[in-house]
Amino acid sequence: MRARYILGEIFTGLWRNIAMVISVVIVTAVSLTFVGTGALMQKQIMDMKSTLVEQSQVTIFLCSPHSTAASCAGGAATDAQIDSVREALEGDVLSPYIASYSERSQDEALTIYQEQFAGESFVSNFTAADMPVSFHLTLENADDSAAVVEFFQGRDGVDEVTDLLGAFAPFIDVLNQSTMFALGLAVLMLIAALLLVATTIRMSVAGRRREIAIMRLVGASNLFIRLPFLLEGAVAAIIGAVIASGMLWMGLHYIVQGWLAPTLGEQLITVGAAELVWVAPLLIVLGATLSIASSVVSLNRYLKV
Amino acid sequence: MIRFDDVTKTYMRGQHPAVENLDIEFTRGEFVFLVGASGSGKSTLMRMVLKEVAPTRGTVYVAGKDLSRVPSWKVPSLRRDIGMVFQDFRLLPSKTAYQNIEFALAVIGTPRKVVRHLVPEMLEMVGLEDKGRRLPHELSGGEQQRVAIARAYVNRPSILLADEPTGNLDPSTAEGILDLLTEINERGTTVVMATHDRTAVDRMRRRVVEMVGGQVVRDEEGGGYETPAPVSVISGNLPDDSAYREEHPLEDSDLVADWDGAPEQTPVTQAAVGSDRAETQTPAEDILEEDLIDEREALRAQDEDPFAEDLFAEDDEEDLR
Repeated sequence: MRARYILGEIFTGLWRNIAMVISVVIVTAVSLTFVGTGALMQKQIMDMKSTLVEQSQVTIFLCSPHSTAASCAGGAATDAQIDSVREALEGDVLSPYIASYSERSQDEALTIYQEQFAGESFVSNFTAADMPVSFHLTLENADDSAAVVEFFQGRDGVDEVTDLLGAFAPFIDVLNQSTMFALGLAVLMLIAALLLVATTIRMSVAGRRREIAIMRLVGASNLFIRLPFLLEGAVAAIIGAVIASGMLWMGLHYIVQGWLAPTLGEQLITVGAAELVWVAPLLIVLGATLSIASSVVSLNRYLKV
Repeated sequence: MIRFDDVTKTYMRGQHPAVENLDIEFTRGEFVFLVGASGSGKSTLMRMVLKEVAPTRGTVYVAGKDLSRVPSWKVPSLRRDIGMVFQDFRLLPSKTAYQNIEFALAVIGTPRKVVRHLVPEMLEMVGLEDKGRRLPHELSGGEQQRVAIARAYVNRPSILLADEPTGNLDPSTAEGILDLLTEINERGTTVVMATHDRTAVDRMRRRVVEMVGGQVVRDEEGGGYETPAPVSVISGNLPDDSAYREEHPLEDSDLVADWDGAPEQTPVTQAAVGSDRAETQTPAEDILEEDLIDEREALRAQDEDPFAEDLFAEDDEEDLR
């Protein structure tokens, strides 16, 4: 209807309260950065859990000729020992906990070993006989892993039982705690942002009292009077959200992809700058919604019909 | 067109009502002068017509509609049919005369094409066709008021309320403004004009309604500013003194009946004084809970309402940059 008028009003309003608008933008940007960080950390946790679930969570390595564990005193695992592990996995006690398992023979182990260290000179020194037989288990419920590990650990012919989920548990814990911390900060900052939006709207209303008085007098509709203020708050919040997305991109690009991923392993750190495809719109929608909600409350207080 | 049906408005609990038991009707096409001292309820009457304030008791009808039944989202369309002019013009200082008139159209969504056609027409009607590009401070008071009238009339409202439109103007300029209002009235718009302008009222000889302390004390067709009627305060027949009125509230039929014809000394009979005092010493109890006086509304009112006196007075320099 009068898009140009409303746009003009928005920019006049933003310009008139430029200092307040800048603070709204900054506070929104910082709070939404924390929200985004929290969301990304949760995404990382979910990714990690799902890859761990996909892969076998518990691996049982039987003794190889080079094993030094006490249970491997008798040298490489014998066929009888391998059979007993196999039987235990199939048996009534453990089978309810185990979704599936696969067995990796010495030959297969050698192939994987050679692939992993392809090009290294020492690879040719090893034969299949040097490799351990291993069982790769996927559990019905990851929480049971400790019991399964305990069951096999220390058996004759069993060198080592590893529990990937257990190994990652501290890391997931750290991420979870950091998410809580980030979200706590985000909530605090968002409260500040909402109050700032309310104050900005109030100042903006005060700065345009005459226009508003005339508009009400000549019968401008409520929506028409309020729309510039609502959009003003939304524009500030959206700018904040865009800045937050930019900061997240820098964090993801330079810290996560540039340092964490190479250090901890590409397989472990799955989040990257590509995640912004969904994080950025989420932040923008969140920022706009909260600011409009805050503006509505504020306008109801300071702008009567 | 406008009808007040036993309307009372009390802003603050326990205070004297701004308008009390108002029963009056303005018909279509009428030109009415509202006279009376400041604080006699003229502005409150106008605010109730605009649904700026709701009556504490009673009903206001505008164009056949009971205002208490008009939902708040329909108030804007009610106001589009009412023009309003103020003593202090209330033009937007940063907009030119043309833009001020345009603003009133733009904010109710009038298409640009119509605006381009209507605004020059209005400027011509008020005699400012060559001054559309001037800012308010580059115009004289009379010219500013003409712009304000153009803004109020550009939507062709059926009612025009004017709150002391000539109060800031010299007599000859005021005459021009009055002629303009007459012209608008002749085009079919009901004009209600609150004024202290003695010459204007005397010259026009239209309907005169005098208010004192929130009550109508005189409603005279073709009247002048002053009147021999005993209850008229502005004619000097009763002292204009709110303390006096507190003691002698205008239960006017008594006063008129007791009147013995001698102006100035106003010796209201002792009996009347006694009975009146008994009634007025307990004003707070007269106001019932269900009168629903929203004190917060009253406190907030100055901040947002177009009637607030200071609204257009301050920080003009800022807007003139």
